[in-house]
Amino acid sequence: MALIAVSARREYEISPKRLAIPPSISFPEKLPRCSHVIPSFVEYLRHLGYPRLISLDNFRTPNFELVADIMDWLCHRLDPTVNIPDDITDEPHRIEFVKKICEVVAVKTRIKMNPKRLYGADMYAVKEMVKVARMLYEGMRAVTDTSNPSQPAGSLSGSTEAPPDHLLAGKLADLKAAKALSSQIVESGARLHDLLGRDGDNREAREKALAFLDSISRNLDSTTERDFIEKSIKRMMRSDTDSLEQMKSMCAALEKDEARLRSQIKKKQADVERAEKRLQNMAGVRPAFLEEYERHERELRHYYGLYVDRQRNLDHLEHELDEMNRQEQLRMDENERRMKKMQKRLREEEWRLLRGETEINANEPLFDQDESIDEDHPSMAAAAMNAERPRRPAPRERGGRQGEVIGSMYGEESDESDEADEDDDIDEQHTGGGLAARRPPYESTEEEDEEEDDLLDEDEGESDDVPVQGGDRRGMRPVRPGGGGVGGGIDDHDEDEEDDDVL
Amino acid sequence: MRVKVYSSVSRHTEICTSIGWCRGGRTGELWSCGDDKALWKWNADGSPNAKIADLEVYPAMLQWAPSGDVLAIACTEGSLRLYTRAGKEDKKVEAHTGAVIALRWSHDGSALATAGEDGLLKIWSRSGMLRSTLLRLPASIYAVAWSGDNEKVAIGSYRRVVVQSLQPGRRPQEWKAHEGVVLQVDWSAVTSQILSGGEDCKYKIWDSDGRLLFTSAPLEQVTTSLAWSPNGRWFAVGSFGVIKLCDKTGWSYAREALTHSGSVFQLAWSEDSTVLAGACGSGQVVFSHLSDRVVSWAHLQATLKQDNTVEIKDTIAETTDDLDFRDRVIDMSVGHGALIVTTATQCSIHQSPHWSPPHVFDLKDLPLLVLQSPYHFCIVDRDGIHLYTYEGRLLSTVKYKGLRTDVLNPLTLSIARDAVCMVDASTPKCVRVFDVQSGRPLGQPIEHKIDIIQVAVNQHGSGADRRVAILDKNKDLYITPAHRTQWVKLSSMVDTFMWHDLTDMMVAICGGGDNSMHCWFYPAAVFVDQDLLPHTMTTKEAIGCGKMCQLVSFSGSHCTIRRSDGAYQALSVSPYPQLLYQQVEKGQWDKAIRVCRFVKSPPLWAALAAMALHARELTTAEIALASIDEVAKVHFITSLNELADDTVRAAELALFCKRPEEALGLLLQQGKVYRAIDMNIRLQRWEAALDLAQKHKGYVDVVLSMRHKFLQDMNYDETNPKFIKATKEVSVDHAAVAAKIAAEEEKDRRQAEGN
Repeated sequence: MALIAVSARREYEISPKRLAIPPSISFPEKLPRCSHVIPSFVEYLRHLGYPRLISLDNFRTPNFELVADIMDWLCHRLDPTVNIPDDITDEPHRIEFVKKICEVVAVKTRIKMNPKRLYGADMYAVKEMVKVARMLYEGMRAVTDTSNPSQPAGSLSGSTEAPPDHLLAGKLADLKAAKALSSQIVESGARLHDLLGRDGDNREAREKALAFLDSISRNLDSTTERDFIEKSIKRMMRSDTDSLEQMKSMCAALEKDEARLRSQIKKKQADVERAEKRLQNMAGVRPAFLEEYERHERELRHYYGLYVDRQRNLDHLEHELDEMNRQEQLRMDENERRMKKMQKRLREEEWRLLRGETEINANEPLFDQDESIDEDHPSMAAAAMNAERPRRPAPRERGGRQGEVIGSMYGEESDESDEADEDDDIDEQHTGGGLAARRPPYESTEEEDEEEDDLLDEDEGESDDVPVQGGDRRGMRPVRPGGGGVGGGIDDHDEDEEDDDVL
Repeated sequence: MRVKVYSSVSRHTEICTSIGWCRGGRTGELWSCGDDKALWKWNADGSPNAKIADLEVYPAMLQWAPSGDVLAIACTEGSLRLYTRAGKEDKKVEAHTGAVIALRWSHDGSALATAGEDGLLKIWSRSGMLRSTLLRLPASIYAVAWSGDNEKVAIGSYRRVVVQSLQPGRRPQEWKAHEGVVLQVDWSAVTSQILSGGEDCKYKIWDSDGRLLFTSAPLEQVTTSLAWSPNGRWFAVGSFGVIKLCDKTGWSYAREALTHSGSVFQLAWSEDSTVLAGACGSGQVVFSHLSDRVVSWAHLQATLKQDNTVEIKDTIAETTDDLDFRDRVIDMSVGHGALIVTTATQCSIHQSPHWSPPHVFDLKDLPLLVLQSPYHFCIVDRDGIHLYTYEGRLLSTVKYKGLRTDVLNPLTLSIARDAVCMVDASTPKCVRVFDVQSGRPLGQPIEHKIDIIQVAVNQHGSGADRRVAILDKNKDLYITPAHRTQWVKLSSMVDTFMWHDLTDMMVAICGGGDNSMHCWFYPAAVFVDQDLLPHTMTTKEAIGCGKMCQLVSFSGSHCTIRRSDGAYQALSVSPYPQLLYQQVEKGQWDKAIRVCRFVKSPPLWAALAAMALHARELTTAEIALASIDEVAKVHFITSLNELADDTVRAAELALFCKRPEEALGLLLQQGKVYRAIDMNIRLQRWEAALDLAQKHKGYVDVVLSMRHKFLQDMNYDETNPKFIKATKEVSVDHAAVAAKIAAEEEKDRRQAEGN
């Protein structure tokens, strides 16, 4: 039976997926009412592993070839050795075949089949065949159920084998066992051969032993042999006991050592733990003066910043001061030169007057001087022109200033000894006065407001020149955020400078 | 995804021939019958509940009516029997000569179709009265299936699948489906695809017109059972000792071997598509559920581990969270940073990155579908479409008379920030649009000429920018504004399409020999200037995207496609249109122009031109049109720029957009009669011009003079009776007309200056 399963499987693999015999679609007029049998029959055959695929339509029309094939296959499942004629080409042979089939089935299973219906090879034949198929199916199911008694009917197993396969599996297991046995035989043979090969070496020892045994058996009365054996055994025992004692003592020593080492390790571990704990504690603790230290550090950084700023400002201011002094020097030189020129001219004029020339040209040099001032400060002059100053006051102021200049000139002239000290002051009054006059009123008020702080300590007489100087200096002043102090410093410095000038 | 069998208990001593789910309780229950003539009831957890009855005859097939109150059993001795819930025989009808092999309730439960060995297909009323004999075939009919609209029945007989309409006088549509007898047929209501399995060991997918979509490789044994899941996303195939779970496109997710079970004679999905039961040849009834279901969005991936544990993985944050639920998870959806999980009773919304605690709210009914948009999501159940915010607050419920929610799927339902639109299942030519906040319809349903298979609404913009795109049965892609019906065809031979998730871009996969992916940067250009549309499109080869591919996502500059073999394929589209949208949205047209100048791509310029025209940003439009060499258009826009009057400019722009009616309406509304007449004349609408002139008086002579000049130039004679009549009535002084025209123009100019 198992063999058949295997062969059927093989056939199935070789020629898979084809319908047994093509069905036709002509129908008998009257349909038999047994159609539920066909699906079950097909299902049983699938379970049994019938190699062909059977269509539900295969038995609609008589299909003797298929019926014969199925029956032949089923009979071989019942008894693999059965001999069934396989010639179904004509009527007598078919009858012979059906007869034989029925006989085999009846003998093997005690199932009676209706040969007439079987010969009809239609749905009624299915009804007959299903009896056999069902019997085989139930038998197989019983086997699968008992073969997995631990498995409940509903549970799943990983294997995907179809039911007929368990026979094959059994066979395969046998094959494996046989294979193992044969390999074992070969192994034993080889071992035996090896041992026999070593006989030459062992022969001497064997003969010696045999001689010894012979001697014993020959002198059974004397005890010499026995004594010798006893003695040698005792000696061996003694030596063994000695070595045992020695080993025992060694063991004890080792155990002692071990215990000691263990205790040491434990101690060290405890130390380590303690140390670690301490380390953790220490890591967590904040040193007492750290906060103060940090604060100081912050402060220091702050102060250092301030210091750097101041230092930078100081450097800058010193540089400015140098620059200014140099300019001052230059201007002073210039003024001196001009003054000398003027004095020379005045003297010439005086001389001329004294000589009795006309007074008409007396104003000329003054106008020249005014223009020369404008030429000295061209940008300022332009700015003043652009500022659309009111035209009317100009001549008046100019006139007023004329008088002033003349007055001062005369003063200067009369006070020649102080010339060097007073020179620049006068000059500043000239220029400052001119500019203040030309400046539009709104501008002047604004600037004066800005410079109020600076003006507070200053004299009324000097107020004229302050805006110009302040304006100039503001352009050069280092830009510094919140630099009120520095600005104040500069102003102070200005005042000092001016004081110096005045002095 | 895998099928995991969790219970297989044998209660039938013979072959179990048929099973069917019965609606009842939260999970439903399963009934089975077999060749041992017993009728058993099972719980959804797979434990046998009770033996209901012993039948007198061999049952072939059973099915519960969808409402769950009538059980129909087809018997092999030719009778059809109806049973009550208590297991009492209600009615017995002699239905067929020979065995009744197959029966099936229609989806609405109003009709029952049976088929038998005699080759007849009969339709019965709910109470078991014969309505009609639809088909008379020479061979036995082994399987019956109803179409989604309950209008047609598909049967499998011999080697053919036959589709017969219920309406009398229609010829059946039939085709050869398999090499062997067709044993099983199923028709999905959701995807309207037909699944058939036969004795040639194959299963095939057909569309409702019988076009072959998929053929499987032959199985080892005959395909004995098939079933679409109710949500249309998967189907199951049963054979000897095997259950296969397949995607709707045909490729298989998993193959589950059954031991000692024999053939699977019938497969049945529970209503929520989570439990699959099978009737086995050994008398077992197997229950299985789907495990390892995976849904993903951007960097998030949710996996259903057990039936009530979901694992959510964030690949950017590299976190993995397990979420446990009280009940069995029915559906889950991940998108836009949120995971939505539905069980039979509750819906929970988990938001990234803190997945718990979730917002949880109770569900009234079994959820059928979850669909997400960036702003809200919807849950579809038998009652309607419920829209929720991500905080779990109910926004509105969309329903109308005749709404069928069981056939809605992500292709036929689409939600945007302010609109929900869907294909009307009862009249598939119709798209209905609803307001999200109120759940009321927005205007009339939008009608199309033929059946629509896919609809999608754009996500960008709001209100008037809402546009609906559809794919119809002829695979033509159309677009229309959501608030009025104005179909414009975008492309043909389209397999599927999708809007971009943030902007108005659209991609479509086109089949037809060469597979290609079209990407429209601004499909709404058709409503501005249809000539611009072809310029705003880029085409890319999409190798390997065969038939039945699905667009999974289109966000950023990536478009993910799931091919028909289940593999994901990413295609890139230009990232620049997104930049353009960002700038345009902010109204920074100069920056938009700079983007275009940088990229130097004509489609981008065309898209910008269309956007600018839509926003009436004429300067930008002029630059953009100049860049794509549309000289005539540039001239027109330049001339528009010179117009001083806003109304006239708007009218001319409408004319540019090929909406002359709108342009004329605008002019007349503002009382610019002369301008309107002038426009009519320019459009060669002489009669309209004359009518307008006669209506408003005073300009008849102008029209007549112009007409005269026109005819003279063209060397034609006056044939129009209206003009002949008018010429007789009014005398035309050409000099006076010229003066009148000059005066009108002067008036316009002065008016503009006054403004």
